[in-house]
Amino acid sequence: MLEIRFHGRGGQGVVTASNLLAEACGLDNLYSSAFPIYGAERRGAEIEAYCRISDSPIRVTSPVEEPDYVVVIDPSLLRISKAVFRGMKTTSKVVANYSGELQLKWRTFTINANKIATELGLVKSGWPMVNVVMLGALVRVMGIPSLEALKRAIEEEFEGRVAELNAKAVEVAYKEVKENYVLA
Amino acid sequence: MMRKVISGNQAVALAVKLANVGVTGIYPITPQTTIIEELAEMRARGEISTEIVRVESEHSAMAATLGAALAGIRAFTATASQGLLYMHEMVWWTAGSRTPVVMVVGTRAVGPPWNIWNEHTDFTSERDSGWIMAFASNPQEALDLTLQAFRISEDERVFLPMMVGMDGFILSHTKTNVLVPGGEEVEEFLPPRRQPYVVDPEEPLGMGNLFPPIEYMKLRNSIDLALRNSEDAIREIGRDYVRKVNPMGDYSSLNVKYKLDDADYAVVLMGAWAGDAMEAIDKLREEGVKIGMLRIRYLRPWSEREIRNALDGKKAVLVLDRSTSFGRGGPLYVEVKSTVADVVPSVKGVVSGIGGVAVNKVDLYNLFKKFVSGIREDVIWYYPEGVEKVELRTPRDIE
Amino acid sequence: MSLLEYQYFPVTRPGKGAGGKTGLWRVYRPVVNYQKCVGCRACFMFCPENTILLWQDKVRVDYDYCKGCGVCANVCPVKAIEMVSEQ
Repeated sequence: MLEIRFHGRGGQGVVTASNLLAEACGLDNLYSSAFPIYGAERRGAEIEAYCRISDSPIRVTSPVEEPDYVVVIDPSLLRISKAVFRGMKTTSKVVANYSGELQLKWRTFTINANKIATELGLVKSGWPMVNVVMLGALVRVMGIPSLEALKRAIEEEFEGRVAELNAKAVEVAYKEVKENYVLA
Repeated sequence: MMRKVISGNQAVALAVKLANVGVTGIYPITPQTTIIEELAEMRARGEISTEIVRVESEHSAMAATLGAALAGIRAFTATASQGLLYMHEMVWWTAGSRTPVVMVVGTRAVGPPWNIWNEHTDFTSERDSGWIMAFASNPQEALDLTLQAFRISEDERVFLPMMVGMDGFILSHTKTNVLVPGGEEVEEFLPPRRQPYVVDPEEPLGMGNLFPPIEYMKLRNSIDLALRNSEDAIREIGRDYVRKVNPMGDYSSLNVKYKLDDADYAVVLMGAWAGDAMEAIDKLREEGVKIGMLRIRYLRPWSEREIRNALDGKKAVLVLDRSTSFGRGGPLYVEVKSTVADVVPSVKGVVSGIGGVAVNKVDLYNLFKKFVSGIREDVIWYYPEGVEKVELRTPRDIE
Repeated sequence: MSLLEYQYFPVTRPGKGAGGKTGLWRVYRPVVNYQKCVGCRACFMFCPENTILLWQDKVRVDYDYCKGCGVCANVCPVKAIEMVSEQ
């Protein structure tokens, strides 16, 4: 079983990202579950969402405390959040929305999702919508689900031009995500 | 049958659609709201013809739902927490009227203080109302039980309303794989609505008029008998559901055993945390601890026979309550203890997961380990790891 | 639908004499003065026990079940109903 934890802020589509990932896995005939921690959400507040992927039915319903992957949707959380790296194992990986190189204790992958979203015009109320962009990077790093399944899930979730742009964003991120190597 | 990734609330809305519900009286409350939102959207898209009656309170939501049901229409509503408490009077009227109605409760803590997260106290506090009360442990079961609820409620041995509980957020908002039956399968399983009497202006009758004491007592006695007799109906309908609708399900018994038959130690609980408990049990089994689980799926009827048979001869039983019965631990603890006190030497109670406190497989593993090595107190309040000690402070102490 | 023996419901259906011959409860009986009665049917409308019966153009009383409450005498606009002692 793979356990993924998403970190972002209210209004960035963190919950939608974990839902979409679970739906895409469903389309690839995998078992999956996705849920957020609901609080008194407001735009800007720290949000966590979880996704589990397995080839057998998933029984656990509690939050992900020992993630295999941590997805950082908002780069500022790397600086201010105490929650992002909790419970990580030595084998865990980080996929972060970040414009430069990140030096962390774990295998780390970065993608400048803000730039991709902005360039494609995926902007809502002044915020670049990076949630789906991050999924493109994550799917590349994990190897599952297929890019096709993710694009189908996007088509089911969104409509028209938004669906089109998100599908394109996923492809760009899939190609551009890169691993950051720790310099010895 | 179609496999979809949907939330517990979406699964319930699909069950309501498949059951061809005629009327639903609705009032929003977290975490149940997306059930009725989903129904409203289905109606807007023309997928269902259910009459959606928007009212000004949960009391009225149940009144509208009961009114439709009395008139002979299949009726549904959903609520939670304060909503269920506000509805309390009509919950009893519905059971007393012996009218088939189905309600889903997305369980949530009760205020004050405000808390929107999961616990079962709202649900368990209706246990003496005369409803059939089932509790799901995943979104699939929420769908399956909601569909079965219509048939159980409308069975001539029962003729009582049925409530299906599911953990708020943990099930209501978790998207996961659910097998969604097709209309034809459901049609074969669910016969047209039956009910003991219909309120019809052409043939007037009075429901709930003043009844003299002895007649009143006979009516209450009848509810008790119907609830006891519902056990057989539930098993029979469950088996038929597996045959006709969901062959992957197991509904041949009211409650569900896990690695229990050869176990020395048993854990009893209800709801979603059964998933994490199974993981904890697997780990303890690997370490050679003979422990198993009984998951209560039906709080009412309380199957004394099933529960006694399942727990008879165990060295010790631990009952986990995600709800409170102040001064007595939790309602499940009280029920289990009264059922098996003479066949199990030690029955202990644990209250945990209150107000949305997350209790995961590691916490449960630690708790079960503690239980196997012996807990002295009859009832403990268990705080998961990371919460060291409760500081009970009055506002005066806060500087 | 035949019902199982233990099933019992809080339902009442309108029927004559569910409470026995309630006419025996009567202390005063309403008597209609046909000289005064104008056939307005106010008494028929207001009788809580449905014991004012329509009769020709006017009304008569079903004394088997009339409890003698006097509502009819009270509402009669022309005072055509007199309450007479049963003793």
